[in-house]
Amino acid sequence: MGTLLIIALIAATYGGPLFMEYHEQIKPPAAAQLLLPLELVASILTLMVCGYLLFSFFLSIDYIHAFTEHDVLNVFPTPLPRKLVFQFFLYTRGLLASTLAIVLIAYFFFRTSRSLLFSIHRDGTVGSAIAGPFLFAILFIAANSTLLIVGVLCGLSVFHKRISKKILWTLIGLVLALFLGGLLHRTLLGMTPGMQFVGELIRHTNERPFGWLLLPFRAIAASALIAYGGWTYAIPIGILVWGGLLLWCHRTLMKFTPSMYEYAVHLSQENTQRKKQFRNQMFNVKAWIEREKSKGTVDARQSRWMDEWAPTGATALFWRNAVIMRRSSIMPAIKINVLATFLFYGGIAALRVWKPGIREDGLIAFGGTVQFFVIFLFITASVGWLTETLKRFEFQKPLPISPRLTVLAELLPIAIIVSCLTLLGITLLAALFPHQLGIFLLGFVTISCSYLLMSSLLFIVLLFNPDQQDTLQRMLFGIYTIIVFVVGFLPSILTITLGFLLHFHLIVQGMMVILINATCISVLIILAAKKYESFNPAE
Amino acid sequence: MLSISHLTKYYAHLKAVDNLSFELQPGEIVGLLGPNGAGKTTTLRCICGILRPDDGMISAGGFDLQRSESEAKQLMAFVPETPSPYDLLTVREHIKFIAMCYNTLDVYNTTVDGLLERFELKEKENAFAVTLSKGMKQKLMIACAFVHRAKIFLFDEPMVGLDPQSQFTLKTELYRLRAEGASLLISTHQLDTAEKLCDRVIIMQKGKKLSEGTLGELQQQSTMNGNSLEEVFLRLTGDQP
Repeated sequence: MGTLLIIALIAATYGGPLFMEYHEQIKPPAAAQLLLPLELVASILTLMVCGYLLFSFFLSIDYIHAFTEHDVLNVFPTPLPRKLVFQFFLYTRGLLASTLAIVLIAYFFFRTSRSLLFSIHRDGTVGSAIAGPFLFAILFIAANSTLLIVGVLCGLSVFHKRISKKILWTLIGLVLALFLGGLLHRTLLGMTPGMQFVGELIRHTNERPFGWLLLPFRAIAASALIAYGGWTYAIPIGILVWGGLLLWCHRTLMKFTPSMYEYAVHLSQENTQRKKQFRNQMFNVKAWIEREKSKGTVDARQSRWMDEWAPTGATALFWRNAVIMRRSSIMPAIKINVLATFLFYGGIAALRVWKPGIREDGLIAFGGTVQFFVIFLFITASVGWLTETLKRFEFQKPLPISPRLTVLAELLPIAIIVSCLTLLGITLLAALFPHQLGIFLLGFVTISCSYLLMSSLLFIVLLFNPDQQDTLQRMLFGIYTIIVFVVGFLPSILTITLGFLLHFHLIVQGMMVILINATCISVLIILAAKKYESFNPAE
Repeated sequence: MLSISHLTKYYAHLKAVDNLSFELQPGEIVGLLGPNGAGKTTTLRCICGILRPDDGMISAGGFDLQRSESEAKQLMAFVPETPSPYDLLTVREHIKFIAMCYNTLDVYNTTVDGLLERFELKEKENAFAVTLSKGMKQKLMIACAFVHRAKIFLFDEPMVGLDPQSQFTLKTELYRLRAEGASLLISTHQLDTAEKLCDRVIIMQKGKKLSEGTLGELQQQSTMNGNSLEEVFLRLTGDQP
């Protein structure tokens, strides 16, 4: 979930400008500039960092996934020092998801400041531009580790009954309520007609006493913004605060060495129990069917044409996919998507009428970002779909259908859905801005091809990490998904860049995108089929 | 009908099946026996095309599995030990889907109702597979194996999870298939069932073929004339002096 939020954040903040960069052929700016005022960006980033770290802290109090029953049964009985084992699992698993967040946020700021490096270099501050993301990563890890340990210490106190869970959460709630209440009160007091509430609220987070309370978090945000704002007083304070706190917390944790395993066993049992409950509530298809049936939304009956449609051979796989998709949770996702698309473009149309002077490029870029979200939604949905395919390898592989056709039949259905949804979005966009039709069609071709490329890559990754019940494999898969998401667009982006540099016509660019992607997809399907042919979960 | 020649399969460095060779004739039921980890399931999975052998040749009805995969698979039906039907397909749709894959909708149209009756699936024909019990899922997998014109049937522990009535039905079906000239290879741990059901057995151990023959031939090999298959098996696999 954390990973998804980060990606959504990056998509929302970066997708539009990226699209615009191509669309307007923006030249690299001559000096360090941000889309918003530096103070505002710093405050927003501070709140984001603070929110993420606090979320991570709350989870670490009694919801740490650092320990599993496999560890308890297999690793704990070994003669390895318990301090070492406890710390290893706590830090590696407890911080893995956070590490991903750091990498992505650091990448975002590094990427944005990269184009500025040449101009900064002349001033001799290139070190600052590069140091920012790295310092950000270090401070973020230190802060996250500290809060992780504080969470574990709180959990230990509850476990040893030094404090009741209810009192602990009441205290945390009280502190948060005081902070938020105070901030809200101060903001409302300072409001005058014409002021924007959110803007004012964010501005107050930088003023005393809130600014002081948020200073350690601001230090992390400031380090990411060194390229823009230079070194601020908050950074050394942040280094001292987080460094000192981390050492102190670590030493305190070590005092609990004798009861570490006991606590880890308790956590692993709690986790197993929670997972079971969660699966029963959310992912148990049997329970889901029972629920949906009672609501009358899942029906075993087929429509007449579906009942009569009986393709044979490899096309039977499409029939099966169509039947399953009609009943699966993909269907509501499609409906919501169609509705959201109409609402979104309806909103744009209304905005154009209401504010005729609004920048067209901004609206188009916003549309591009939305389509980017559609892909992301469906690429994550396809993971479950492809996992199901692999689970049924014993049923499916003996069928007289070649592995290549099988792989293609598994990848195409969602790709077709994505294409249709993109086409809908593009059509509405073209209706609003008909003179940009060429660009939109190129976008449609790019999204459709890139999606299929991404899902082919994803299937290969899944063939190497098929066990989605395994925490480590699932986490690694999350990281690979993001890489796939980036790599999947590469052939199209490179082709379009080349076409643009060589001044090719948009139709030629579109043809090139189709050709290059088709080649890549064919190669990937052959590789996936090869792996699928020898796929055996026992290995 | 089915010819296995020097079949070898590795899992990393572990030799799961080691140079295994045997043949199945039409109208014959052959039992594949062996202790846990002997390589029975791996052998069946290689034969039906789930796993790719590292060495050796598999030929079904004269079609080499490597070169003419589709033609060879068309002749085979495999029933896995753990049934894994698609959660959101109904019982009837499953059987239809298999018939569509094998291009045998004519067989489906004429046999589906009889199959559903015989395997006590009629009441559940419109139920989603996910709502079935393990035994019912097993019956569904078996029913799917009967809906195409297979000549070679591969069963991995087919009796596990079945109630006595269904076990009887399955045995009756197996005898019927044998009478119709099909070749059946059944992997099982139930030695009494194998003794009654199989014309011939192959005993595997550590991936290798330890022994092959009728019960009489195995008794001779183990110098245990008049003993049951269980006793012969234990002697041959070294678990009993």
